[in-house]
Amino acid sequence: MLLVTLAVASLLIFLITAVLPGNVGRIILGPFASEAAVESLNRELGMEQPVPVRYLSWMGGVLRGDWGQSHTLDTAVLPLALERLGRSLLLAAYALLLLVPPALLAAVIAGRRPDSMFDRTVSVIGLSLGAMPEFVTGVLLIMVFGVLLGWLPVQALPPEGAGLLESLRYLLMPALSLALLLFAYLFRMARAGMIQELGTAYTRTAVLKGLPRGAVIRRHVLRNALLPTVTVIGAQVGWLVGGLVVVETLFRYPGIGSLVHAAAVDKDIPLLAGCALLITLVYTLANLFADLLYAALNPRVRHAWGRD
Amino acid sequence: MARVTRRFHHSCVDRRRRRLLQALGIGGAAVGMGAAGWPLPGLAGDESPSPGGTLRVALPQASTIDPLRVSSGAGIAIVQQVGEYLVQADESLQLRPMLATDWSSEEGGRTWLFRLREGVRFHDGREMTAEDVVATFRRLVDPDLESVARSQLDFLSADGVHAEDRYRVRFRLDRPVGAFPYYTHIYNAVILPADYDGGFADNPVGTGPFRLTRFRPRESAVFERNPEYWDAPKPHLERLEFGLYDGDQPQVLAMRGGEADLMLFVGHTESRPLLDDEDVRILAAPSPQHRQLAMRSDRPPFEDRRVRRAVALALNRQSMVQALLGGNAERGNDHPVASVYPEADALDLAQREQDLELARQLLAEADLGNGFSVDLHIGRIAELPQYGVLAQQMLREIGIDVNLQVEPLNTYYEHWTEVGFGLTDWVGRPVPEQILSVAFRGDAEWNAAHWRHETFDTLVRKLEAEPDAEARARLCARLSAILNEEVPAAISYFTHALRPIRRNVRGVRADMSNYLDLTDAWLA
Amino acid sequence: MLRGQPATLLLGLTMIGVWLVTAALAPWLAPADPAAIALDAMEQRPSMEHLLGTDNYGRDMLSRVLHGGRHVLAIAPAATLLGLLLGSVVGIAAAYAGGWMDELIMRLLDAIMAFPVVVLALLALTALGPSTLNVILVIGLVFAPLIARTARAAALVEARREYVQAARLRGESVGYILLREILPNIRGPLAVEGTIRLGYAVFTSATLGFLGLGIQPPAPDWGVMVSENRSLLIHAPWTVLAPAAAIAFVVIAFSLVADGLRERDEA
Repeated sequence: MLLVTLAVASLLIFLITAVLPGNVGRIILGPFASEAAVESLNRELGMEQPVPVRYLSWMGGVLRGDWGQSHTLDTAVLPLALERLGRSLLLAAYALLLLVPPALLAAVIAGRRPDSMFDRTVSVIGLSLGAMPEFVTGVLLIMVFGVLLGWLPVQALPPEGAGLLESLRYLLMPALSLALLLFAYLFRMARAGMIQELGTAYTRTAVLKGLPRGAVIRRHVLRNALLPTVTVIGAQVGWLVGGLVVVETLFRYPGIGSLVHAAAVDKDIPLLAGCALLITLVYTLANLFADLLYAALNPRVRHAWGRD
Repeated sequence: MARVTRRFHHSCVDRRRRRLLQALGIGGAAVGMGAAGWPLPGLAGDESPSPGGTLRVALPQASTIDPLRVSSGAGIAIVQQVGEYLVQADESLQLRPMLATDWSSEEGGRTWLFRLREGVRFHDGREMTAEDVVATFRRLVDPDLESVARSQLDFLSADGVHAEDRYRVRFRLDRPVGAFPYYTHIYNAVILPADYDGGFADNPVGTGPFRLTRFRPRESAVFERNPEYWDAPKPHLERLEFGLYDGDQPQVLAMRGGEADLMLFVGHTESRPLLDDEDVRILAAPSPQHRQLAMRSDRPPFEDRRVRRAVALALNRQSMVQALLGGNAERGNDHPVASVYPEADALDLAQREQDLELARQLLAEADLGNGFSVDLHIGRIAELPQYGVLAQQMLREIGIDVNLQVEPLNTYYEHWTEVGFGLTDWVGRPVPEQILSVAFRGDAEWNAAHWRHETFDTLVRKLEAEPDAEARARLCARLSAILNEEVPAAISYFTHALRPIRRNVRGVRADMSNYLDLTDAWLA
Repeated sequence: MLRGQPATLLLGLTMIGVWLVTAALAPWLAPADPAAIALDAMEQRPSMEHLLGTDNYGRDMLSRVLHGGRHVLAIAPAATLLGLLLGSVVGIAAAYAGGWMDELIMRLLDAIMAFPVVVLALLALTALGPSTLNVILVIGLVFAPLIARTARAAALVEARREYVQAARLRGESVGYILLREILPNIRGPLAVEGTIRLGYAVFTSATLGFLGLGIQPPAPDWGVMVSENRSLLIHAPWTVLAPAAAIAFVVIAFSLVADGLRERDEA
């Protein structure tokens, strides 16, 4: 299934990038190069070959591990994209770390007493934060913590040889703007799951049996309330990557998001196609992982798998 | 306003510039402040450079850094630390020797002989000789290579460059070129080893003051001092760290946050947050950089030159300079011969002022008294979209209804020479004929106005061939007068090149072409 | 009629009403031409004359924000409608067809959804070039697969119901069954999905504007305004805060309505 999705995706990516209008040679050489030089470069890049031929030769290269050479950046696509992907994953992981525990904790507290003061306050704050595009929260964070207070560096790329703590300090603002983007969504899903589980028969039975409420929540409810949350995180990886495009551009963090943005603007087709394929791969894997985790957490599905 | 101008220092106070600044009404303050308190970089007498240190430079994103293809501002700045030119134009556009020690012409500018500096070594230890210079220029004009510079060197062919001996190079041009030495200073003409094969990012070898030790695309470039540099004890700095940023805003933040010491260049609007910063000052250099509002003169409505002149008369240039650039520009007169060029001294054209009455009258004479509507295409860069809005407001006064088509820059460059009415940003070139010839000659590739004028073409050819300063100035005066009369493109102003630096940075200048020369730079 | 409706729904609807009215009446409400550059009024703080201050070209921020609402009004509903139309047709068709057709369609949609929305929009807008129509098309197209998923899930439940079986036995055409039998019964989930997507459409068009791929300046688009005025953040924060607040206002309004609708359905 994974392979089918990727095959379809690779075809789509290539088709979209292939029909991008715009003269690659002109973009690379700038407005003041002669027409002859531009044509010569286009020939060299194989731009005049038919699309199917270009797709097959690209796909062949991809399978062999040769993802081509970037048109604009004097370097091979695969190592560059992998390096950037690694950075983006680090940022995304940091964002999830800032996001998941507080959101789940808030959801558990809020879900125990729906419509309490706490529930309402967190809901409203979460809603407002989730409604702000990441470029708005990012700009506001920069203004407050970077410029007015001067507590945090305004660019995310840590200097050479920075330790872990130092790197985390540099990444705090971008990770925070990503986390705020998803907080409301996760909080609401987890809270709904929590309320639903608390209302089910077995929970009521467990409480009636005289088990302490805290223990019930820990043993039964939490796990069941986590289930939809796992799916949500899997499905939101797409949003997260979209957020990366903006946040990385805003905070000057050389990750895959800013790279794919630059490749699209510069019409650097090998780079664009390579990055898009890599992002698709990660997204598909994340969803697969979320499905597996869901299965592992959910006794019913686990059981069903055993039967198959 | 007072605050803005006070904080802009002028890196050079030569005669021409002072006159220009005074014309703008800001010269006295700026120059006075510079002399009174804050030492101008590189001009302070009582400070001697202290060696060592790392300079952190903020630049916009660079695409390729292959010298043959490089065209982005940051890419050029990276290349310029590693490689050097035969000559270099200083801030008053005088040439000074670099890899060539002296040069002379024969046959009235048809043949040029350059004597090379002896004992200059490439970063790989080999000596730079005439062979390398010949190979470099042959590459630049090789039609099989994707050379950006070839269109600027259309008078040179590969077999026109020869090594006379180990240290002398002869250029035999297809036609006389009076200012040829300036052309050896175009961005791409850094001297590379004869066996250069295109892999500059992997193996950057030049003769420059710094060695590129690490380059990460779209991220950073790190340089170490070249201890074998021919002009020892320069360079003073031990290390350079170039950071590449997406746009002006993050660079400005890096300056404010103390994460960068120098910013390659900045737009006027974006520079505003830096004016408050006590640690930063902004150097300014008048430049020939300008915007051309080109009008297709081969089709209606602009085929009638009265219509084109009406457009030029509708523009209030002083307002544009104030609103768009906060005064950091010099008014233009619809020709590209900026007053920074020595040739501009002989110009005696009256400054074109806004004259709506005359503009309306010209339109009426052209049977367009009821006005017309027209699409104006603009690439999205710097203040150009707002230029469009101002032009729209001003042209509405004379009945021209402008429909703005703002496009991403790459989209605009796809068709900028085709559109009927377009606004293009032009970079500064060291000699005026470089722009006159590529933008306005009848058969020039970048003649966006599709304007043809035989006398003009003849005079441009003459100017290109003319080595004598006074004759050049006279020719420029005639050419400017034709353009001012015909207005294939309205040129409202010449911007100043702005370069923010941290207060402890010495020996750096703002540059009209945004060249970044750090040979003399040091940290106090 | 309003009695007994959830408070969130009412609040959300009120906020949307405010936006609709101000956007529709912007040319009359706005005190100034949103594009007019005024040399004598650059970067002024909010005052009685300029309630939200002016930007670095002396343009009245209130007028720009009001007019910016019109762009969103033009884009978000049209894009969502397009997404709903495409998405529900594909989703219901997949559910009804079942079997390998369903499988194939869903795999294709998975592949499309594997692209992050912004990246997909980025690709498409680079290809098509930025214009209001293209922004609508692109947002509609990238939303369609998401909506198709919801439509399919809801339709799957309905397709097994007896009334559908009965219609089939009656010999009704496929089109009739899809449109007249199934569609009306999944209106609820689609309405909620549509409202959520409306909010995201506002969000996405602002993001595209910010990245320079949506509406081009000097048009008063909220995302473009935030992006353009970023450099004024320290000097003139109101030039960034006003459009940012406007984006948040509309997005929050749609989230509230979506919440309210869900609450009402549950009750």
